[in-house]
Amino acid sequence: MADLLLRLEIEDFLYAEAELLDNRRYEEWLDLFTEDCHYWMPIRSTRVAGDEEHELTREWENSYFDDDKLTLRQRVAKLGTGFAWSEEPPSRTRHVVSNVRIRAGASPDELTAVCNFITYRTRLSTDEDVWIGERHDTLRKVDGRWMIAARKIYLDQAVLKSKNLSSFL
Amino acid sequence: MTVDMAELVDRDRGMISRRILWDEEVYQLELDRIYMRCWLLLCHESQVAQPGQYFTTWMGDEPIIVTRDRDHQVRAMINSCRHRGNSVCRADAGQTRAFLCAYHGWTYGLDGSLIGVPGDEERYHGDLDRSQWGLIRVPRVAIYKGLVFGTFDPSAPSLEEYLGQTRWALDYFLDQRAGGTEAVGGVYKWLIKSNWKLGADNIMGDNYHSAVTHRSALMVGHMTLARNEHRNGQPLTDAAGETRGARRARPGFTAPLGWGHGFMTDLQLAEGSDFAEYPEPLRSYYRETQPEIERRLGPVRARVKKINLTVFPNLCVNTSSNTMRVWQPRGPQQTEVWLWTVVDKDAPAEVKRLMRQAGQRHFSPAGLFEQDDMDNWELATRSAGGRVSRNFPLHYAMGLGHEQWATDGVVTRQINAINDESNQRAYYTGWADFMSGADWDELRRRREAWEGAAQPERGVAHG
Repeated sequence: MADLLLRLEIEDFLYAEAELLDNRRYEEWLDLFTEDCHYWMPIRSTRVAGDEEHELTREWENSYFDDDKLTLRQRVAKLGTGFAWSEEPPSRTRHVVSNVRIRAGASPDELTAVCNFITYRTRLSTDEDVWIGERHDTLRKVDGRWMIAARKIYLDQAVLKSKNLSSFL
Repeated sequence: MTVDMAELVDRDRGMISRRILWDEEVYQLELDRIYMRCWLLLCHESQVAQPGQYFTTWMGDEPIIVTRDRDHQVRAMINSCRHRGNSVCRADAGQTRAFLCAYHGWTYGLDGSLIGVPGDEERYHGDLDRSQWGLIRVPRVAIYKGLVFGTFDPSAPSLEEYLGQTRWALDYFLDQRAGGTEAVGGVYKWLIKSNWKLGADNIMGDNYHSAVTHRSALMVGHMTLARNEHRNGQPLTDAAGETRGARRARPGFTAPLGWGHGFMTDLQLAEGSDFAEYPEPLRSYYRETQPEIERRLGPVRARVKKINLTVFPNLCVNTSSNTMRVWQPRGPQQTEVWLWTVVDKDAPAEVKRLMRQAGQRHFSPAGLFEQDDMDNWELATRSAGGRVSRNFPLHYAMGLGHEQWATDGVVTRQINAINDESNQRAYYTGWADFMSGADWDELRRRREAWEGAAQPERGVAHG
């Protein structure tokens, strides 16, 4: 029962986070991240069975995102300049989170929330992107509320079928 | 409809027809006359470092496997079984002893030779001459300082001759240090609905767009936002104007070369002065390696701050983000962008990390600069074919007739540089030369004429 309640609590947190992004409340979204956070999205490539260790780039290799709180702040600040053309006019996004699984964290006040995600983006008249994958979020309880200490985003696509990644996943 | 080059590229007036961005007939001719003839980048040598390592890529519309053979030779062949045409390799990269076709089992060695045929005796009765049925080889493969190139044209000039004066810039990218370079793991690949030439002409010469297209990125942190600790951890929002002013005053030059090549470079204001904005330990690394660069490449290149280079037709280098990219054509209105990060092999791990992040944070699909280029090119491509718009050429005439050529023999270049479109004009002049179907001797004459007219004392000296 406690497991179920914890999962519901975490799901609510993830849904609320998605709502902030879909409503472009980026400053509030930033506040969900700890100061020591790491936001990381490796690159996937097609590999034969048996070569899984090279399917995703490692921490010392290239990645779509390799951000800390400062660079996340820079991304949000960029969106607020009025000249961020990739988001001017802004894209419409819908973040869908599901299949949430809770795993024990490295310390009592941390846990890992694994989920599947679908993020839909449409912009201008007919542009469409669908990003699907798995996310591993390290959540930490700070002053009684959950915060994101680390996010790992594993996109299923090997060739990104999008002109850019100007949305957060 | 036929294709008349003079109509597409008006080099005297700097006018380019929009037809080169949308027309299928022009595109097919590009595959024939450019992608079947030019030297094309295949990969970095470090991606096929060990025997048995392979990397799959494209040359125009041909899928290519690059391998390191057991004799340590780098080979390249078309990824298509000679029996029914199926791909014999479906992975992006890996390690293998042979390529087994998943259809009927024809098997090819690392050099492309046919080494196994199921039923060789009982079904083919020994009639199949395996020596004639290997994978189709890329006839010429050559390596320039770690970059592996291939061409389908047996009569093409040597790779060194083809690269010509771009070597001045490539050496700055690849040969600063004795240990050479390596590719960081992972190639960014993404699909854009843009013609493949727009990005290539942008990188080699378009300083004009930065202040507008990249204004938001410049406002929140300049090229070195890998870690701006001197800004107290806060994004830069108000000093961008000063930074742009300093950029305008920066010395530099453009090198609009023959055969569609070209590069532009910023020079440092004074020795070592421009590294102040880089994070540590990158700042110290750049300062400390400067004498080695000077020893290896001479005094001018020791003063380089950054170089943006296009090697015709579709290889671009941006040294300040340690990246190179290939614009893989996918039809007239679609391009797959492939981006590599290339770092000094002997650099310390922490320096490599900052170099990798400079590429990722600026010029990968999520990069603060890269993000904002894409809609521009997609929308320019989309509107190019309009029944009315197609009759109105694009304006590439900035600075035409105002060129000031340098005469010190460093490299063919002009010194008022940064504020014109001479590199883009060189690109489309080269494009038209190849598209005309001229043979290599004629192309050599045109290159000589272009680079010779640009500068009387031509030739690459050790500058």
